[in-house]
Amino acid sequence: MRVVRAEHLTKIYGHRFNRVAALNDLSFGVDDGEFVGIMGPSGAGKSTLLNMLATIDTPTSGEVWVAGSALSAMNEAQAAAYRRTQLGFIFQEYNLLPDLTVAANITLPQTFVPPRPKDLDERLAHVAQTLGLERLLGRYPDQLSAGQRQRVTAARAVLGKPSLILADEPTGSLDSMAATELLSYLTRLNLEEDVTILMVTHDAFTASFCNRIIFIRDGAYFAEVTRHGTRQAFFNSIIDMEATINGGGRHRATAD
Amino acid sequence: MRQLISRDLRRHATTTVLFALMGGAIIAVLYAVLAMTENVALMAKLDAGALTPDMVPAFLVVTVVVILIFTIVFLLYMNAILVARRDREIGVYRLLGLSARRIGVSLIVQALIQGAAAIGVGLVLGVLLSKFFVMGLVRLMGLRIVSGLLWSPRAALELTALFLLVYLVLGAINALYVTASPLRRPLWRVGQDTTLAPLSGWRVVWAILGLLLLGGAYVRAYNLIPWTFRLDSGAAMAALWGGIILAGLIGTYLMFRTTLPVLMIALSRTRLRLSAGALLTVVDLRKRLRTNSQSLFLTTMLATLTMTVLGSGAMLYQFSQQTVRQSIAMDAVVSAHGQKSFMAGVKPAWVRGHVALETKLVAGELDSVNVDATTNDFTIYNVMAQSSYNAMRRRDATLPARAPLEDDQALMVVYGRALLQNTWMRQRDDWWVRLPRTKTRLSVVQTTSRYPLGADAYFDRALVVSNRTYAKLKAPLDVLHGYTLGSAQAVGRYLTSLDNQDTEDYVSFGKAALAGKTALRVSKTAQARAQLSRSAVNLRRPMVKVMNATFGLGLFIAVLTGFVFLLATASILLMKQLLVKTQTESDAVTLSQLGMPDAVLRRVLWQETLAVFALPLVFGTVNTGLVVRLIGIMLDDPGVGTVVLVIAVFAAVYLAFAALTVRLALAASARSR
Repeated sequence: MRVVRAEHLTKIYGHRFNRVAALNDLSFGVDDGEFVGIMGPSGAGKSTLLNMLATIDTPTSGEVWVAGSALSAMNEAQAAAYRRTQLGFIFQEYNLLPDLTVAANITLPQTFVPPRPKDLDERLAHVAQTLGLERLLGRYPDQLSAGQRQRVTAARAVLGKPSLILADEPTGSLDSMAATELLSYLTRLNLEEDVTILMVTHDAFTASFCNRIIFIRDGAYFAEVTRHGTRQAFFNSIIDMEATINGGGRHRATAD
Repeated sequence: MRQLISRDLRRHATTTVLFALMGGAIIAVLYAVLAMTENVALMAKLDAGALTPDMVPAFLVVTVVVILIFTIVFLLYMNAILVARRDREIGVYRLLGLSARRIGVSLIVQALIQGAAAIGVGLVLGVLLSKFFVMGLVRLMGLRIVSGLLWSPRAALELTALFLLVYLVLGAINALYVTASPLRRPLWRVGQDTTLAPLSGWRVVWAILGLLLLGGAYVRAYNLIPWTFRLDSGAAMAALWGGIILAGLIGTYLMFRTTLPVLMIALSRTRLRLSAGALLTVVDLRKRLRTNSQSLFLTTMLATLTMTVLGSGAMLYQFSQQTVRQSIAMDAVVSAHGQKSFMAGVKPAWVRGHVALETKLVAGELDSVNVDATTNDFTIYNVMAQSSYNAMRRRDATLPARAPLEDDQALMVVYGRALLQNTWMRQRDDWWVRLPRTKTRLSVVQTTSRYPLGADAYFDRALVVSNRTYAKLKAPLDVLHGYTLGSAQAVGRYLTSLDNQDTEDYVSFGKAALAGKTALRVSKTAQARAQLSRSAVNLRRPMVKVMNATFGLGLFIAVLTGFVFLLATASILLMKQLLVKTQTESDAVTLSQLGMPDAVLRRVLWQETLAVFALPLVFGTVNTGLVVRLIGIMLDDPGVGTVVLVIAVFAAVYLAFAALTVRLALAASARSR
């Protein structure tokens, strides 16, 4: 089943005489249960695309469907309900509320609008176990390490059983060990909980945890790479594609 | 430089405009009052009804000075809040190479621009206000004067010069603040505020202590008069009064600092946590209480001060209106002696009504059956029959109703009933009056402070007894006469001339007379022996004039200062709320992204804002209630109607400020997204 379907997305900023196309006729799809990465150079339109999927921005033309509903037709209340029920967010800057405990932070979006789900406590316990947060539930965000905080964000994103998790540079603020740990947790969520994840990153190592990478350049679909063999082989092909997209040969040494 | 200044002013447009408007509103009040005092003709007319010459301008000038001092303190405080918020922005400017001196100069220029705007707005508004102020004062003082808008170049110039200087000082303080602070400090990350310390046992102890201190202060303040009465030493009294104030201040501070935050923690663990809106409100409130406890404490004290000033002004005004009614119930109330001098110049056509009240003068002792020793409370009573009393009641419905009295019962009329019943009369019941000369014993079944024909016509207390008891009583007669007069100008002139003569009645007050051994003697002139006196001719209209002039002016001044204080407290709360909202804007954006409906976000904002505005209001109302109750007992309970009205108006203005805060916060967050 298609979770995300984007067709002919175009976004133009600026005035009549000074137009910049952030997205230029971009079309792609994401299937249920996929772990997809979006890569591209700076200014390629990754953030614009993410904003559209999150209903923070609207396209100039074209349409996006997420879990069957067209996003441009939504009003403010419907958009809020969509963000609440269909989406989970993982931000680079965590965006946790400093005055709430970890447990309250995780369950918060589920209590925005009554009724409160009856199985919320069990769901919290389950997610906390999956992400290794059981012993941190009573603490406050600034008592946690960066990696732990990002896992709390992931727990908050996954708790509402969303159709899609949007991750915006989730490892951007983490050191390499915390990043690897978080990514393996995300992979686990993807495999065990069957969560669909769309992750924007510019880091090839982070991207190598996905099943498939969509490359965009100048706001348009450029290419995609699908994982077949080992992660190492996938990493290499990502590096190759990055080199191609930047218009050069293979400059970088193999990682790992 | 010019670019820097205009960009700064634009970036902080909302707070800049608000700050200038607040300053403008206060300058307007100051201008209107100053312009009134500068208007010699108006002052002369207002002084006509006053007790002493130059009373009106003198009090108004004192009011201006009080408001001025308060305004300067308020502007300094507000300015400090507003500049501290710009730390980071100024830090970035300096990091990028702008010299502290240039930033300082730009801050001074910005302050002067704000000052110029405030003065401009203030003077225009002040000219418009002046007419209303004169109208209000004239009405409260019960005069008939017409006045237009007041334009006084001297008042305008004085205020312009003074406030330009004030704003120059504000700018200079800001400049000093910037140049004196090390560059490192403002660049600390803002918005990344740390979590509050968790709940500890000590905090709970402090919370309970705060509650006990404040509760204790309230209980003591409520019982202040009876408890003070029971104390016999000055030191104990000072300890009681000082203790109440100290415990009240510390208790209120602890309330905001620990008790309410702890309560919020407790609330956040109840079922409230199940709904995000309620949980966020409670958690945010706890944080605001902790971080803003000083400003909340300050605004609570200011709100108390404002409401007390307004409430006691209103109560005194109500008291003055009532005093006139209770002191002299008709246009003229005279004794038999006074009747001769009164009627000497009265034309028969002037008299619209006449009533006579027959009483007997008796010495008596008030005592209680529950005490062994006598109270030694000897005084003179005007005793009247219940039928006379009832006849009076048919003319004046404010006299309390009384069921038929038995022969050994009496209704006692005393001055300051409320105070008496809160002090020594409260400690015992079963009061009775012994009339030694006739060996009559009457038990007091009811007490009031409403004298038939008004208290001024009596020597001291009065007793209402059954017709039979009255008939049996052998004592000198004392007949009181009441007159209703027409409203011709000649009547007014005659009353004024009569008011200047002091015609008195005297009655013996010696030990022998009081103990019933000798007869009471009423005389027209003072004798060498101990005597009690009263005014033989009591005129209502001259008294009304003086009362209105005095208490009307008092209420006017109370309303003026109250208005300025109110504006200041509400403004402090408004600015603080707006600043907190800007600091927590990123949280609101996150919540919105996570799918919190805008309606819920708005509701949380409303709940928080209302709670923050309600806190000073609630504590202020309780404090004011206690103070006003105290004054009420002292003034013989003139009623709280006006006070309730004043507090309702105060609350309505606060509510309007809360609504304005929410609107401005929503507009600011809409702009920033």
